[in-house]
Amino acid sequence: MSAPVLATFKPARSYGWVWLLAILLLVAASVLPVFRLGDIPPDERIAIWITIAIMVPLIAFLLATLASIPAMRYDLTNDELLLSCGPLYRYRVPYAEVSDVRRTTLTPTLWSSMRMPGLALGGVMYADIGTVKMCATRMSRDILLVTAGKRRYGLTPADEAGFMATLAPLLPPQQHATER
Amino acid sequence: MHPIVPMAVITVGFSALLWCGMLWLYSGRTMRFVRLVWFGLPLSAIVNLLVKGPLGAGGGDLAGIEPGLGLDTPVWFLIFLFLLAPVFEELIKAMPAVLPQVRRRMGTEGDALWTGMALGMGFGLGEAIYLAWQVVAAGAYAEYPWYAFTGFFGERLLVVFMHAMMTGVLFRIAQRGRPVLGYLAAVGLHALLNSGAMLYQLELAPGWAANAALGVMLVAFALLFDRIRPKRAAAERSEDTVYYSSGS
Repeated sequence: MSAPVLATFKPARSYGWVWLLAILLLVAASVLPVFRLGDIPPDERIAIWITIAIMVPLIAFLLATLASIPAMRYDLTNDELLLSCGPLYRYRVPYAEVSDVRRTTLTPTLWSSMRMPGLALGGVMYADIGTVKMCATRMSRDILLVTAGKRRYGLTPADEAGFMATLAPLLPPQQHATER
Repeated sequence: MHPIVPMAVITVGFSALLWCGMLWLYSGRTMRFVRLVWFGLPLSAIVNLLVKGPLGAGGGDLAGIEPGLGLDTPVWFLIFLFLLAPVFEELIKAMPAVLPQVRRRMGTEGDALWTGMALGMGFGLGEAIYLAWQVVAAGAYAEYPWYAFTGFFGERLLVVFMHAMMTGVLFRIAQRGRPVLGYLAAVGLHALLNSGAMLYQLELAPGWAANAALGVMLVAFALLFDRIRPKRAAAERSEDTVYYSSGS
């Protein structure tokens, strides 16, 4: 049985879903030639089927991600912080492992990941600090970066002050600081 | 309307959004360099219509070589044709640097990289428009639906970034006081990029090999970009708002 949730915070609003929708439509366009299979020479049809075999799972994944965005949230329990965005992206961050929480700006790399303006999900490689598990509605600016053990997590609560006011007392009682 | 037109609009629009967005983000969220993209837009049409076309046709006429001979074309002429694009395209992409408003933006190596990338992006976007226009003018592939041109979309999307990188490398090295070396580096990268397509046209390599070469070059350019772009300064990182630190 999961621990009771003390508080739930929603992410900041963004239009990241528009980018995801645009990418989804572009990927979907690549399977349109299947409707004209009759016009394609038989020896070239294999290329269409290979494209479909790759693109259909990708479309399903993008659709599932798109549908999950409204469900993105950050739950605080007695023992851990739960970051979730539908069934595809779920991260548990035990408070006992948290060593650092800061708001920062990250520099994305060119390497492929589920990140675009207004949305970052899953493992995203950043030039400054390496891979961060993201569950955020911003890609790089003003990310709340939580370091727990060797892992880093990125989130963007709409009410950052309220989120920190709830989270801070739950963290190990060591050095608390609010400095710039 | 020719069916490549809608795909060309999508290609140019999406490429411009993606790569200009990348330039804006990496250059420090400024439009300072993105504005330079305009300078590169007409350069592809200019170099193709006024330089490469006449030189290719004129060279063939002078030497009495018929077009479309494939492997029967003399080797020296194949090399001449192969080098036309790298030599003249890299040269014309750098031409806007003679303008004071462009040169002013090249104060540091990082700024020179962004300036070059902006001009290269403009060239790549202009090249996509030019190529689509060539297809329309030739009346080729008019029987296909618009979505049959996804190959055009994919290739041009990548090539815009590659043009940006080649000019970025040129400007970054030039900023160190070595413009000739920068130019030669850009020409070399461009020749390497075109080698797969050239071998395919000569029927010395299959189509997939040409595409694989494009993919390899894309990865190489992405690695190069990550290596040479300016990194976020430590001073900027100190502006983080630290909420909690265990000190470990």
